[in-house]
Amino acid sequence: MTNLIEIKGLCARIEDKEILKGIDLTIAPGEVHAIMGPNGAGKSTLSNVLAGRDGYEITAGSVTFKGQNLLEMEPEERAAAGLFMAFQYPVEIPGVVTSTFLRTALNAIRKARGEDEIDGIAFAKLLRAKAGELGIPTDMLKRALNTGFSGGEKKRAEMLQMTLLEPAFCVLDETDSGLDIDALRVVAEGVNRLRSAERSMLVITHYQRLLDYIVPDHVHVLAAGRIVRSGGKELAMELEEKGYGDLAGAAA
Amino acid sequence: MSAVTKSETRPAGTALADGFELSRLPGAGNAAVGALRTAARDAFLAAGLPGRRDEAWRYTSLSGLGRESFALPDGKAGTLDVAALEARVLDDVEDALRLAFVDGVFSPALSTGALDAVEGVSIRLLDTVLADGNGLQPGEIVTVEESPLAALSTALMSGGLGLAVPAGVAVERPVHVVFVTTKPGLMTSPRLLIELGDDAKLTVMESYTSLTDAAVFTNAVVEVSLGAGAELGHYKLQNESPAGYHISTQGVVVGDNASYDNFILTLGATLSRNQIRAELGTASLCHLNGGYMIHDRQLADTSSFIHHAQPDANSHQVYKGVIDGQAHGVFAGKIRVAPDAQRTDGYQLNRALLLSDTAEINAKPELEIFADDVKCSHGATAGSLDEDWLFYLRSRGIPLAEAQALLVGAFIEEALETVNHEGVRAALSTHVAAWRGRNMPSSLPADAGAEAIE
Repeated sequence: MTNLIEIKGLCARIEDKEILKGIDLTIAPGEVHAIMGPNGAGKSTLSNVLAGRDGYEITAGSVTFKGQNLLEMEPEERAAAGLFMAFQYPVEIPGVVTSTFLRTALNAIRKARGEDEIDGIAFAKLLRAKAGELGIPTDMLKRALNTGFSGGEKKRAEMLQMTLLEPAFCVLDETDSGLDIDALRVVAEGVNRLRSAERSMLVITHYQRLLDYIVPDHVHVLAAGRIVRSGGKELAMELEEKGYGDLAGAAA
Repeated sequence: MSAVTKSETRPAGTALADGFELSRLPGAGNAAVGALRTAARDAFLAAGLPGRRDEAWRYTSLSGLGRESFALPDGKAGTLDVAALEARVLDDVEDALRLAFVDGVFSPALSTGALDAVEGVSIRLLDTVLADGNGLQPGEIVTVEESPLAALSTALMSGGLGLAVPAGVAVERPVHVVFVTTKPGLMTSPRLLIELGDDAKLTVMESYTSLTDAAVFTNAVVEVSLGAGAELGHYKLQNESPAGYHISTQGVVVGDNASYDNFILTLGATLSRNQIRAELGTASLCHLNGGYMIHDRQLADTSSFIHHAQPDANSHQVYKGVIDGQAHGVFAGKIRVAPDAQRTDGYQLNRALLLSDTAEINAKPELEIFADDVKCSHGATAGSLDEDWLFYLRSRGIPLAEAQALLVGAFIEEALETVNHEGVRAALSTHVAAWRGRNMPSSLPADAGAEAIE
């Protein structure tokens, strides 16, 4: 089994509303897949279900991640196994200092993986280096997590977490929303630096714009809870030209 | 038999004063002190412990306290060594002069210096203050009429200090007064008298702790008088026996342009109440803040009354509580703005974090405004840990228990940020972390919060 993640016939609902109606998606190590779709297609539901957020009922299907049943794992177990979701709207958590949070998260993951915890000095050095790459001032690391951060700062903080935690599989949930072109470029550069032969990514977006900077290997179109079309990166261009109108109609 | 009949007809809890023997209490040679003690005892015997029909005690029942019987200090301190004390006091306030009382008796051995070790502040034992009648005297700010419990404390007061800073003197080194109870069933009535002259400056921390898990009763009274432009940082840790009762009645007179910064961290006692009354002078500043972390069946009550008697003063209160198990938080905050107190700025907020379905909070803000040009607001919130925050932390690999501990710590740390004095803030923070370590299973590093990002 060489696939990193296999999603088969995944159906999910919130309360009585069916959102995902049979998703099939397989991603091999090193591949970058993009999921595009109109509002209400189920993009956020898919990322939340993968990350393990409460409130979604899985009614059918399976998700296998590194050979394990992902849907049975707690959110922290998924993270320890190598799944990382970059949130569309990262929450502000007053009182939790960003650097404290980052060290706690990194050590929790290292511990779960059977690795030694990193000490304060080594961590500070690592953090400074990684933050520097993303143009994050150390001042921001001393502030409460995401609290009062601008939209761009929040997304950069997400990229910093992704960089530090070294996940095998990244889900980027509409990372481009609320970003101006400069912030988008910084974030995309951060993502591209993390691309490797082992690391896979699922880039979820409404707009083709992000895919100019993070060029995917495969593009899928999600409409009304199903993947209605798949193709190469040129599919994104086509969607940008023609819009989602026809495809959404085809899925209904 | 006759004793039983008698106790049935006495007001509730008055047996607590049964050990009263004027001749054995400090200051017996001073007629004024004798008269004060007697008046205080009579006031307590007439009123008894307040019941829940008393609006100020509606949510806090003293019936458990009334059923206990306590011994009065016999003038002998229980044995305890420095290491045992330091384990309870944890990180002492950096650079502070620690003055320790054990079972109501001053302990030079457990103190880190003599009474005159800090330049600029006169520190005298309560016995001396009562004997010579010099300086701020008991009853000047917290009168016998303030409450039956304050009256009981005044009748029996023993152990404590008078601290005075003359006008214009700024004292940098903090004074840390520690009251330790070692004997089960002991009732102590400590008293602190703090008097700052005009433009004087001082930092005082009080710690109350016990080395027994049995019922003890600390019934403290603190009286504070600040001259014009004076600045007092006044902080408190209460970490007493889980079966203990802790009552503190505090009266503060804040002079014109003076500033009073208060923070109380409550962790211990089965029942605790901090009752604070502050009288604000013109353009003065009064911060009453606090945090409490309680579980099991603990009750923590904060009751404040801020009197804006003069114009242009600013009062600011933020209390934050973490309530687990079947514990119960009570907050009653009253702000009174007198007709002359124009341009008053009063703010009050109570926030409770409920960690269980059986945790309870009663918050009762009260504004009495008789002036027309004022800015007063109050708020109260109660809720559980934010699910989105927990999910976010867990999605980064932090296990649920650690995520909860992190958020609880953050909640209280945010309250601690209001403490102006850095050394005090650090000491209190250590206690918050220790509480979390004891009560929230998690493997978080104890130093989370102090990162090496410089």
